[in-house]
Amino acid sequence: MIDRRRMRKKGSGLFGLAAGLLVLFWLLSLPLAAQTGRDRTEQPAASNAGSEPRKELRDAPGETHEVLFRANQAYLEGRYGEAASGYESLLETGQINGHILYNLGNSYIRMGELGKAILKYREASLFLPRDGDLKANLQYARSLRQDRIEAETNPTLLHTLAFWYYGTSLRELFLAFLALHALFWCSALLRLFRRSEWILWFFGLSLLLSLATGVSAALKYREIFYGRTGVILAGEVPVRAGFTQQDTVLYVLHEGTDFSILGEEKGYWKISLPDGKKGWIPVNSAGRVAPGSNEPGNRAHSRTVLD
Amino acid sequence: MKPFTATGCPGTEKRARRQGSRRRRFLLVVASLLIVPAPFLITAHAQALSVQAAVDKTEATVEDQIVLTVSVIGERSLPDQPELPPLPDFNVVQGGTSSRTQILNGRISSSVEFNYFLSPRSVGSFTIGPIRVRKKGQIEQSQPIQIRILPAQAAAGEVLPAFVEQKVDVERPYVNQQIVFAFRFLRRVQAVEAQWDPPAFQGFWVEDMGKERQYQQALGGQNYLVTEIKKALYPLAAGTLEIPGNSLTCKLVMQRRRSRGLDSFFDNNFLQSPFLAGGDAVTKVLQTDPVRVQVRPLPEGGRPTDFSGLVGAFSIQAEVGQERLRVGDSTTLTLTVKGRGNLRDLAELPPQELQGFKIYPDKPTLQMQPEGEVIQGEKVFKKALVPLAEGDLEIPSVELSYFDPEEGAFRTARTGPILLSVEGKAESEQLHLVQPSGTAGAGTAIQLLGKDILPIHTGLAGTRRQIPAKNRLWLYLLGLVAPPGAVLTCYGLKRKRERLEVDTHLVRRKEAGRKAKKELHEAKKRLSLPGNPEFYGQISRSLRGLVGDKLNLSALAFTPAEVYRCLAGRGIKTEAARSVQQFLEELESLQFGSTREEARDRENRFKKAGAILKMLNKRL
Repeated sequence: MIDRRRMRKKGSGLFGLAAGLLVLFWLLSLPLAAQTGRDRTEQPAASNAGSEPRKELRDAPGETHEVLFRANQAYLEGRYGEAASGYESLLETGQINGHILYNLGNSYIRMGELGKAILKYREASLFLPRDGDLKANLQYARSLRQDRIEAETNPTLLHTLAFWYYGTSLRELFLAFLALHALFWCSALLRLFRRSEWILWFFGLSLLLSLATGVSAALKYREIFYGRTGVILAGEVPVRAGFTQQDTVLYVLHEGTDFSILGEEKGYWKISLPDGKKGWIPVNSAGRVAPGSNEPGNRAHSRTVLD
Repeated sequence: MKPFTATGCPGTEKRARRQGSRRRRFLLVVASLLIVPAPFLITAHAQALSVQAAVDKTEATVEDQIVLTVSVIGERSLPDQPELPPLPDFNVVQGGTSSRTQILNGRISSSVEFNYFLSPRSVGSFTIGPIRVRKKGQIEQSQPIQIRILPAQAAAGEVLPAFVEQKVDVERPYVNQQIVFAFRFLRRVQAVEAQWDPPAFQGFWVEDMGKERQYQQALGGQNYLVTEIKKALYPLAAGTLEIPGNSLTCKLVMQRRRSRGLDSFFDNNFLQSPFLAGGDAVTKVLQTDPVRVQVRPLPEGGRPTDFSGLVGAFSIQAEVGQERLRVGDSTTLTLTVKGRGNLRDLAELPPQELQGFKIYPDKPTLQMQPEGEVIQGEKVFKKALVPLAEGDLEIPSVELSYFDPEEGAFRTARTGPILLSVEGKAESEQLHLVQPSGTAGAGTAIQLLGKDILPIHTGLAGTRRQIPAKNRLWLYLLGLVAPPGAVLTCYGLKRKRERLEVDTHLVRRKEAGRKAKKELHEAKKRLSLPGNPEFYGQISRSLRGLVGDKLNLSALAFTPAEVYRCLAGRGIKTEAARSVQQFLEELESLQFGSTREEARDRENRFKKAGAILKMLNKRL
């Protein structure tokens, strides 16, 4: 006699195993997300630390901690150049971190290098998009710029409409994508064995959200590694009609001015300003907002020139 | 058979019907003969084309409006527009068109009337016409009309019921000097539907001075109601400029003569309407004389070097937001220029640059509003000053040069110098962004005293990478691949289970080996029981069941010969199939016969059964 009941029991067992695996994966992503949350919650405490670095940082082992501690100490004692070198060396080892970029921006602003400060603040904002200190300092640095450009479009509206993109870091977006991706497949699994309307809604919603977060994470990754915006670093940069020294100077930009990069030709960037003006500037007079391009593996592709 | 009656006779009925039909046909023909040629008859009597021109009055004043009516007679459809002769002494406005058709004693007369309103421009005798009308190559013209236009003051000593005037307050202004143009409409009777066409102020910059103003004015012993419209004018260039004459069209309600008693009785505003008080509404076109303005150039002598073209009377004030501040803090310098004149032309005020400061100018604001008989303006310039060095820094006096037309000379207004006390930067990075400006709990607004960056982040968060590490890529890859892998596995299992539920052969085939082994295992329990025939029965059922389940056949009805045929048919070698057949036959004979056997033989047969089962399970 055919033992069908046994076969059914075997199938159900495998289904349970697969579902268990999915739940396990989902649970696995929670500590990673919690770690990101911890990063955030530590910031205010760190900000309030005042002039004395925290004890646990001094006691923390490892060369990275040591270099960071020394750089912070140099900053707090007013040795801003030394602090900036320390932060730069950390970034060069691939320790790309919004807090280090923020501290480096602070060091530059103390050294009077407004363009570099704005560049570093903008790079930091890709990792700490909701950090109040960073927003305040970036706003302050921008208020010191000589060029005042009226934007053609309202950036606030764009930031409000795409809040999940501008308000989250790459890590958060990616973890959200992984969680929603798992939820989507969970709903697909449920639909295999049970067809009801709420599962269909759950399926559609999780698909939509996972697509949105996935595309956003990809865009954020592109922005971090291959950014298409920049900041003027030199004190005064003539913007020309073409990419040679003989081309007509259309207008002059000053240190700290933001622009979008439209293309590159023979050591010149074709740029566009928020008010729609276009022109060409030498690559070595500005910096690209692309913190990921400083990673050791990506340094060959880096177009950021800080001198 | 039909009864014979006078009306019922079939022959008589048919004849009567034929007669009625003939009568109707006759009446139709007669009516046609009468109706069809009627239009031709009437057309034949229609009038020939003629043009007549008429005016509502042949004698009028320059303030009157004359209605000219051109009638084209003998036309029911609209002809081309009448061709008026040149009328340089009149303003001509076209009115409506009307047509009329009249049938009288079989004669039809048609006419189309064109109306024109003529407003005289000058006094004298004029001839209007002839006026021509073209129709299909035919040209007809009217008789000319003689009109006499009298001046408005034709009747000596008579007080005008209404008149208009325009004036400027300064007839010899300087370039850019503010002058006030006033248009006044004075009337002592009721006026309705007034329309004013403002003149073109060629050569002037014009500023409105608010809404029209109404007031009473006594003139020649008569009380006039005055409506006044004012504009501020700024002459743009030296020379003679003319503000052309302009007209106001209105309807004046002229009172009919009444007895004194009735006049006093009905003397109220309500009954003064033309309908209730019995007044006549007379259309008037009131005209003003042109005004000439002799614009003088600004003198060249004594002109200050920083003179920017301001003409009028101005004052200037300067103030700063805070006089004590730190290096890098900002304060606002507010420069306010007030006065009468062309403040719009004042683009910028010094200082553009200042030693020891960075200056960020703001967009200036301008307010212009009428005050009394002139327009007063106020322009505010704001500049953010950021001191770059500590110490006492001075904002020098700011000067504003302008030309005073009253004095006919250049003047300079200036502010006093302002001293700022600038302290050095704060030593520490303590946060001092805001500080309460009033008492605690008073609800006063906070005042921003300075700006600085916020401190660095010293937490452990700075030691973590925030770009996905390459050594953790496997985790992310697992996260991407694991969920779809699990789901696809489940899907495969589900499909398989569904197939098993439907395909019984497959189920039997899948379970055949396991079932046969189980049966053989049961037989092993009887291995140690000699003389038990069921031992061989179980081995036989196990092997036949295996073949039956594998080939989806009934195992019970299987004979060893049938097993052989099935196995041979499935590609198993003949020797092997024959061996199976022989083994099954041997088992049958042992099961049902009474052959004595050794324990070792039983064990050998059991082992052989296991080998055959293994072979069949593999090959089938």
